[in-house]
Amino acid sequence: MNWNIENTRLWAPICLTWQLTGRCNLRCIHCLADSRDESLNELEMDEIRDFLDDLADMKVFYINVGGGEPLLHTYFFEIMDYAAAKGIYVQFSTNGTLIDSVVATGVAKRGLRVQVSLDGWQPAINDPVRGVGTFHKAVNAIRLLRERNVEVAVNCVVTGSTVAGLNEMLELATSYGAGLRLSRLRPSGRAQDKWQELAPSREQYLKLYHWLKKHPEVKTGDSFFFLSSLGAPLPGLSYCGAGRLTCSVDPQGFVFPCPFTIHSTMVAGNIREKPLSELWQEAKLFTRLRTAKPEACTACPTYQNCRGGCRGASFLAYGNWNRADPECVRGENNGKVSV
Amino acid sequence: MNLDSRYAVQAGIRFRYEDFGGIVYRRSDDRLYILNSHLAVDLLYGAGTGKVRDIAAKAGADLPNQQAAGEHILKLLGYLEELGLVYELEH
Repeated sequence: MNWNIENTRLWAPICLTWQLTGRCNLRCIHCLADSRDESLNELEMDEIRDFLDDLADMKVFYINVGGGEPLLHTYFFEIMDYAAAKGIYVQFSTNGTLIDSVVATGVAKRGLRVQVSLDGWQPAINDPVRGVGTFHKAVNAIRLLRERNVEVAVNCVVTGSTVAGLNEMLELATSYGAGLRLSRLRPSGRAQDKWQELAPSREQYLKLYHWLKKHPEVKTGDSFFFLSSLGAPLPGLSYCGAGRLTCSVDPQGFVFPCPFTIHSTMVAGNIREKPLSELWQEAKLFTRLRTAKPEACTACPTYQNCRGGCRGASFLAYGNWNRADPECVRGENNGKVSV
Repeated sequence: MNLDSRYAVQAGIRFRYEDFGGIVYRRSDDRLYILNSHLAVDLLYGAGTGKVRDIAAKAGADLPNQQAAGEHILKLLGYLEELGLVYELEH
């Protein structure tokens, strides 16, 4: 099918990421949302129902529920049930620490998909990033969920440490019957301070590219399409979907182009003031993003493979989402940009 | 399928109209399908509501040649079936 995304405006997002709560019981050093103990003024249940009604009317196909730790939300399962009743598919991301047999059974009963975060194939790799004891708790959650046939993906943020053990990560996930999903580290939230230290080097990204080519079963949420400038495109999207195919809603109802651009200058609006269906059509920020073409990239011979990479990463690194991806593997700035 | 067939949308399929036609999402493998035809989306919405003949009459009412419209609609349904989006119901 011939479909040129650069000239297309969708009537609704395909999917969106919803940070259900900003509260979290962990303090991961690279948390994109900078989640903490407390999160004030979060959406109330009547507002959440209105929001989900709007998504259903727009025919948003699925939502990725995250946080913070979404299982800390008092009405987590009620919200999942409401979304399901509206015909919206849901998957949620969790650190796994709150999943016991009762919670796992509740998840299984509802047919929810789950991503459990694990940033290493052994405690020595994972725990310095996510906290002492978190490896064993996450693995236990994966086991409990898989014993109940829940569809689980182990979500691993790719850093210089984890890229060294991609095979081990895949083996770990596979040993529990889970899938593996790799995510890109962006300089967002608490990761701003750690990006230089944690981000893979250019050589490590090259290794990742070739590894992903060999492992199409590994999902990436299309995080690594910027690596497609290296050659044959990776499976999935070859452009940034922020504001085009997807967007993100935070616990207070603010709408952003994607979960990594949680910044006051990247607010498209708030669903407390205007439904997402209207913001998606009217927000000037989204209109600008849909027509954006990074000036530095349009003459690049591989522009069609990556279309300039992740707009959020450019915004976070340079304060300008119209610049080339800061980790462009064809450029000279990989891993050297200050944020 | 023929004009007397009945058909249904496969489980785990969601779809909607867009300016260029429509988008279909399949949950089982997270695949998106782009349909460059509003008529194809009409057919998805019409699934389960009657025979192909009736759905075709409704969906293809604007087409000038009704016989050609029937053939065109059967071709579209065949395509949707091939993609695994619809299936023929037993008589």
